[in-house]
Amino acid sequence: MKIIVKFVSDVIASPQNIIGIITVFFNIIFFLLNYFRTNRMSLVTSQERYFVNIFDEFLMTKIPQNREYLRFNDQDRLTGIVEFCEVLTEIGKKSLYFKYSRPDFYSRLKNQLNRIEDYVMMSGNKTFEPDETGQFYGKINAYIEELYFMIFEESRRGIRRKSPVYFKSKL
Amino acid sequence: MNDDNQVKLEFEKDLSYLAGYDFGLKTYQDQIFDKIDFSKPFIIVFPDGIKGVASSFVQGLFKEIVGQMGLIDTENNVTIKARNENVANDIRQRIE
Repeated sequence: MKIIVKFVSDVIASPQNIIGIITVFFNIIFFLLNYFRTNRMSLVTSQERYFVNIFDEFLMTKIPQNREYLRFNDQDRLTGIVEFCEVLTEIGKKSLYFKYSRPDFYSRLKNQLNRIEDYVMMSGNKTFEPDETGQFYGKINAYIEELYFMIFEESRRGIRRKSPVYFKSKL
Repeated sequence: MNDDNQVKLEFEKDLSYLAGYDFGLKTYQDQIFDKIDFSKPFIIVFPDGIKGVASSFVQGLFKEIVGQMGLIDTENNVTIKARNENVANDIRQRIE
């Protein structure tokens, strides 16, 4: 114990030693901060990768293309319904990953997909008046915009500190 | 219960697309419940006029069936017949 006390008093007696100790201390702090920040960022990046892998093709190509197929024929009946709804079903199946990683998002996503599908299918059962077709297009576009916004917002949300996936990775 | 263990669903003539969870539930209660022996393979026939079926309707229709049998047994025991194979496949894919 006396040796330790003597050692400490010798070390702190010199100003250069004190500066050195403070420098090392802050280096350790910065290292730890950087380590946790990098760890968190790699977790966020890997989660973003899932969003890109799962949704990219749908958002960029399949939804816009199949939306174009939703048109009214000469009898003012909606066509392209089955093709468009198949894309929605495909999104639901491919997003199963989120059922366990982000259950709240998955539930909201499924609800929105079902809402769109129900609206399109039920519209297929009626003959539209000419002034109603514009309303249909407006509504379906709004539903699709909500879907896009939901996915973009969630992809930017990153990892919540209370996420069980985040904590499990620390065990 | 019939010998073939199948039920042919009936809807209004001008209905081409089926949607809505509650509608699926009601269809099950009105047309399937008590008419099928679920302990054996069974067949559900959709009318030829049906072109598409929404996930919400399928989930409502199969809610009780999956609840009793489980998803795997339901998928193994049910045969869906519809106007063409695409419609039947779409319905099968939406069972969950």
